[in-house]
Amino acid sequence: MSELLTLFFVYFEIGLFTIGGGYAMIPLIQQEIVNHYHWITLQEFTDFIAIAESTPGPFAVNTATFVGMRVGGLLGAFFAVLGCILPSFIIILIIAKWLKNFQDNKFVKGALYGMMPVVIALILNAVFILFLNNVMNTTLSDFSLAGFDWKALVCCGIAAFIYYKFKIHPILLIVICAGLGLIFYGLPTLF
Amino acid sequence: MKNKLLDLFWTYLKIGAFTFGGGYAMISLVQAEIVDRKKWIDQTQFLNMIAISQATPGVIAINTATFVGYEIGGFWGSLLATLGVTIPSFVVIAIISTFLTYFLSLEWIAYAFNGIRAGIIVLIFDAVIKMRRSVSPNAFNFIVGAAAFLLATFTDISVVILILIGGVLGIIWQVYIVKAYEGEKNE
Repeated sequence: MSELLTLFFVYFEIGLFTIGGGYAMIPLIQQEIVNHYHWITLQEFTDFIAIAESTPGPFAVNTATFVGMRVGGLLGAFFAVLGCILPSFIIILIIAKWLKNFQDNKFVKGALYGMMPVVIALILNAVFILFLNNVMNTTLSDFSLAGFDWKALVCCGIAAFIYYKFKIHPILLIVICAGLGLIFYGLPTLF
Repeated sequence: MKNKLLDLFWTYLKIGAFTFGGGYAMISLVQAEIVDRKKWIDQTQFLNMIAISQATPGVIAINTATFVGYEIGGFWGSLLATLGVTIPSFVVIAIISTFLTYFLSLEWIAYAFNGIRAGIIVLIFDAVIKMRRSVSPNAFNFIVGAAAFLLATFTDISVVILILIGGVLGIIWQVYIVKAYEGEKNE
């Protein structure tokens, strides 16, 4: 039971500090769910992101359901999702009822103005950590070049090229990358 | 009223089941269903709600659902809209995750996911670039952003603390130093 409550409060914190869209959750999830509680590994989390991107519904609810299921089954998923959506629900109810001019307040505007560069920097840091983990197979605190995976780097390069050149839908990019994975990692095992 | 609430729930269930990519992707569907077709709220109200949802902490998809639901049916409206948008995700992912561990243990699926992870890095990096474009390229944003990146990379300072410090710096800078909102209507 205590783990379910922890899950609820951790996701409540994540929901509360998600500012500027679903990806803003990624640094928070890395910090709390991966590094602090060790509920999932960074690699599992990256896989969850891929599946959350290719299934319907809000990204935040999808990843919360995944993590919750992993930690405590259906009940875990329920507590994680509840924690994740409750801050939104409460804050918006208060605003809708009493503070319709909330976003015109200069302190609110100023705070958001200052939070945006931080959130962007944090997501950039999160993607840097994913890059180190997946391509270099290392971490910053224990850095080494021994695990460098040139195939992963080539896959990133091709994916970036295709995505920017042809401006395809993210789901199509994921499908193409699955193909790249099969070609670069699967095909060599046949010979 | 009761029928309207059920209709609201059903509409949001559909929106939750058919949007890929979260809050921003949802906006056009909500617009088509709730503003254009059912005319429950008008365009100006809707745009105002989107602005508030983006400017408030929390999941944008949930923020807009709660807001639209509240405007249409009060507390119960907000509850049903939020549940409606959440339930499809919950059900789909709960089913997928039951099979996921087995699925990922299949050799060739694991190979495919090696490639997919590269794609995810590109997608998140692209989100960073798009968000970067939405803030003005001035000294404040650059210095605060660079400092936050270095602190997040080389120290253990919590993400939440960094976001809060950003908020305080933003108030000091915008309200007291450059006085950016003088002459505007303030509450």
